[in-house]
Amino acid sequence: MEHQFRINLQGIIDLLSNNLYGESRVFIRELLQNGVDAIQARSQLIDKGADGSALGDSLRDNDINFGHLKIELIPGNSGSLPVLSFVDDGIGLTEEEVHRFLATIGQSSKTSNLWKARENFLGQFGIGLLSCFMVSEEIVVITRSARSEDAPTLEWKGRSDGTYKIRVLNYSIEPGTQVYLNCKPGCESMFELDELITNLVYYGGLLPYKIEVISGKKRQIINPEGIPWHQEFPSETKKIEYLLEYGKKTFDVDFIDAIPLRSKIGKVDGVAFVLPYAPTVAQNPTHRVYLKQMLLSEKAENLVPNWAFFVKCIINVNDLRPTASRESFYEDEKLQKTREAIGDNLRNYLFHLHRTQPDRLRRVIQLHNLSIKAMALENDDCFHMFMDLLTFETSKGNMTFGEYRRSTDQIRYVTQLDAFRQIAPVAAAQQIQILNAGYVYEEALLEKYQALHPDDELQKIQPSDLSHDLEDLSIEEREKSHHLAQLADVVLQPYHCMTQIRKFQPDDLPVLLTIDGEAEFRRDLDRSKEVANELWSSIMDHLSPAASISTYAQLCFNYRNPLVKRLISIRDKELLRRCIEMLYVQSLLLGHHPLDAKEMKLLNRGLLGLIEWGLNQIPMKDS
Amino acid sequence: MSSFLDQINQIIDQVNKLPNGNTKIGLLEEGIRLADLHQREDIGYELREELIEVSTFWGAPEKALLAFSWILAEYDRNPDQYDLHHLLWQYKWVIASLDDFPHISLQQIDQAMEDMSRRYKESGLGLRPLYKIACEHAMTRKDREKVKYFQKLWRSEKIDHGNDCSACERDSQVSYYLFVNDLERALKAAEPILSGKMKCGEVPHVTLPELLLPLLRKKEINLAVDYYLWAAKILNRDPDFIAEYGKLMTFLALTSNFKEGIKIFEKMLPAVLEAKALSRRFTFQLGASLLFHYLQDSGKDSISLRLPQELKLSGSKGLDKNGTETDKAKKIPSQNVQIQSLIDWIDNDLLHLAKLFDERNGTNAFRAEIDEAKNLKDLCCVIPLKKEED
Ligand SMILES: Nc1ncnc2c1ncn2[C@@H]1O[C@H](COP(=O)(O)OP(=O)(O)OP(=O)(O)O)[C@@H](O)[C@H]1O
Ligand SMILES: [Mg+2]
Repeated sequence: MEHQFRINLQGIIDLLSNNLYGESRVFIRELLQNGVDAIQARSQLIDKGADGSALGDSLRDNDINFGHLKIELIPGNSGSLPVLSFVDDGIGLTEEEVHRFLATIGQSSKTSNLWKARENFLGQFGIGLLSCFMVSEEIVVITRSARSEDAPTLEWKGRSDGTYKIRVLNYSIEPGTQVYLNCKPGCESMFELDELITNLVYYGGLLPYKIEVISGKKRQIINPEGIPWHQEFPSETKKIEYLLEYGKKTFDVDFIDAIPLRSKIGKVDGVAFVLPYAPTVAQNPTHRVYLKQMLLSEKAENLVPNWAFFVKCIINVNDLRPTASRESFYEDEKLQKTREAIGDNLRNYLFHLHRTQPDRLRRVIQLHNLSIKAMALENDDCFHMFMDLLTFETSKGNMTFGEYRRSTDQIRYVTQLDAFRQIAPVAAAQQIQILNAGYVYEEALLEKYQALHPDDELQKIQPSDLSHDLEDLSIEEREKSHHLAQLADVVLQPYHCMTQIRKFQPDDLPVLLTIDGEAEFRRDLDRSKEVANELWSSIMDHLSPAASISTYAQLCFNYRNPLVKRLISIRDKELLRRCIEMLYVQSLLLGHHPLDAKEMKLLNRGLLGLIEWGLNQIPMKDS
Repeated sequence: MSSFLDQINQIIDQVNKLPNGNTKIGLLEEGIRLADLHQREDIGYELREELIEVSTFWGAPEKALLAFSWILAEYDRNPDQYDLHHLLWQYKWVIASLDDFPHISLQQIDQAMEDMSRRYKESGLGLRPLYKIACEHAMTRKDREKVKYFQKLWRSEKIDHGNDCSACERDSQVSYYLFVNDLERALKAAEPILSGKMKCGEVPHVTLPELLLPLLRKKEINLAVDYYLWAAKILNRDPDFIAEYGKLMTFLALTSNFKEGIKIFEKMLPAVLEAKALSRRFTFQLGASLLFHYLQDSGKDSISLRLPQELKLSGSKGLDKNGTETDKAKKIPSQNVQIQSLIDWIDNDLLHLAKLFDERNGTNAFRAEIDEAKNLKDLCCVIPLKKEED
């Protein structure tokens, strides 16, 4: 025997109304949507009539003037809570439709064949009305169908426990639908005039039908202006000015430019506002999206390419499918193409600036370096146009890639921040220009540059490569300093550090410590081993075959440095050893390298030794 | 010390913006060093968790391993301060990669698995992921008995939140059917993956390449080409996929698409030489070997290639890394390379790797794979690839 699933309606209603929708004010969006859909359906009814059906003719003459939403607020008094009504002059419902659509969760007239052309409607799931239960225990709908002259006026009362009642009223209203909500205790703020108006403007400010709020003697049109970017302007400059003002009004930000957006696919248009600051990840710009002029989401993310974090957009979409939560769109080919088109709009704007206002472009790029870097990586044309204008850190300070390229015949870069810090000051003093590609997108950009310019050879260098560029000692100097070189090697061998003596700028730098990737890995490994338990530390021992030369750090003494010169003259081996150790530890600390246990011991011993040595210089009082 | 926190925040901000890659790994390592320097174990722990994730999926499991040993110890010292489930979740990645390092002994691997199993049990998690790993290890060793044994255990163990993602689990099923030469069931099992219903960061990336050879064997040419093109598009130079790139090269070699194959070789070789997880390098070289052998058979003697400077091809000598520190900075010039010397290097490298693994495992599975590859010649054919859009 077959059974039907039984459903706990109360539970379903709770689930849908309280969990699917993020905030309770969305019921206003849902009611506006239903009203707009009903008006849309009614006008289709007439169009259909125009091509022949008898039904149309009779309707057309007297009803030609519809398309109006009225929202009335009846404030509560001491005894009663406020009531809100939403009235539209749309298609209304017949009795059969009330049962089938209004009273059936998950049934929508908009996806049935009844209303045709489902793409013209905002609703699609047949659950929107449930959101009203967030603010009202009961929903009362009074409706009369526009399909026939003699349609009855019906009253439907739905309760949040899942029951409903329907009856025929003995008076007749104009075709259309009225929805009444009784404020639920705790939801009073939704039923206050100011907040109501704010919410109506928020969701419906761009809607194509007249929306009017009424409360007592007060009347106000919610959407007097229509879509800002559809208006006629005497000039492009005026248009931009107007849009910037609109941006300021909407987001309270002084944007630096407004870029009109348009995509045929998805039937999309809108404005992208260029942000006056570079956003950090935490506050990556979100975009305000309208679906057929009705606000869909304040943080729709998948409509604008994700490299475009230099703009905040307001977009109206006509032909993309929103997901049930209405926070984003279905990720399909159409959406992808739309996103590409929006990307093209943004790129073309920058290309246009490049041709007409290069200074302005430079400012935008400086401000939004990161976003433009992401863009250049994504798209070859952008790369060609913007790469030279992008700012990089170099050993001679910040400069654009173009400036850097022109100032050196060999492009050299390091890919780790850490490596850059180790060598930048010394490289600068040597007039060697090194580019830091340790930040977001930079290494990939340089690789792209290399791929597109196979003749320019880019060198990716390791910190220790720098020492090859430092000046060698003469034979005499070498002889003079031989014992230091020898002792230093022996002393630092247990710490996996090799030494060298060279001559370099700046003079006041006694040693240069460089640690390449492999050596850094070995140091990290040693540190992990000190902490890890026995099993894992033995596993780490077997991670790779015996340590090779490349796992050594390099300490390069500067022969020009007065301190080093004095070291060379020291004959006391013990003292010299201690000095070498201390120089080594100090340069580790300067380079932000955490010390391992052995090095820590070195540091302590060295300090104590120095104190002792200092005290020994003072003669004891009573001997 | 607020400048320290500023620095850390700056690093985290950058890290959040970055896709997985070397830059991200470098930044995390820098952050970890800073945290260690300032003895902030809590920050060091968090950054290491992130590093484990990134380096696992960016082909640097050795870095994940170091970081993991550290957090495991730190966790044991202060168990109330950290998230145990996250630790256990990451544990399985690290365990899965142990097999890729031939110097780590079987005994060590077993002990580590025991430790993982103990911790899973103690927190009430099922051992499904562990059996899956054991099964995969047995497959690389071609130990049919063990494969079957762990396959059974794995399938009968409960599914809970300690599990691998369902796409990865599914992929492993596919591997199993391929292992027992049942292409039909493999394809059936792969259906949700191939239709895009199941996916994750590694699936279908790892599934597609393993299907290519079996499909060629069954003369399912069109399907193979489609899957190749799909794979080529999504692997995205991620060094995590060097073994997969090896399988693509095998396919390209067998279908006489040498140019494409050489492109892959050139592009991925630097990452291959850096990879410490040597079993992946083995699969890569196996594909490369076929590629250059067949290229030579087709009548070529030399080609122009960009090779990483640390690679020295000299006559028929093997690879010699290191010992090059007196060279000037790393240029990557294009050079004319004798195919024979390339083959010599690759085949030597293969034998060397096979020896390392077989000795460790006490089997001859790797060596056998090299020998079997020689029989693939019968499958050679000429199949042009459709024009790829991108
Ligand atoms: N103002 C109205 N005028 C006419 N019919 C309406 C009105 N409001 C609701 N309906 C009918 O009730 C049905 C259910 O409305 P509801 O808002 O729950 O779902 P929907 O609009 O179809 O889809 P969605 O869940 O996407 O909003 C609609 O399909 C429509 O047939
Ligand atoms: Mg609706």
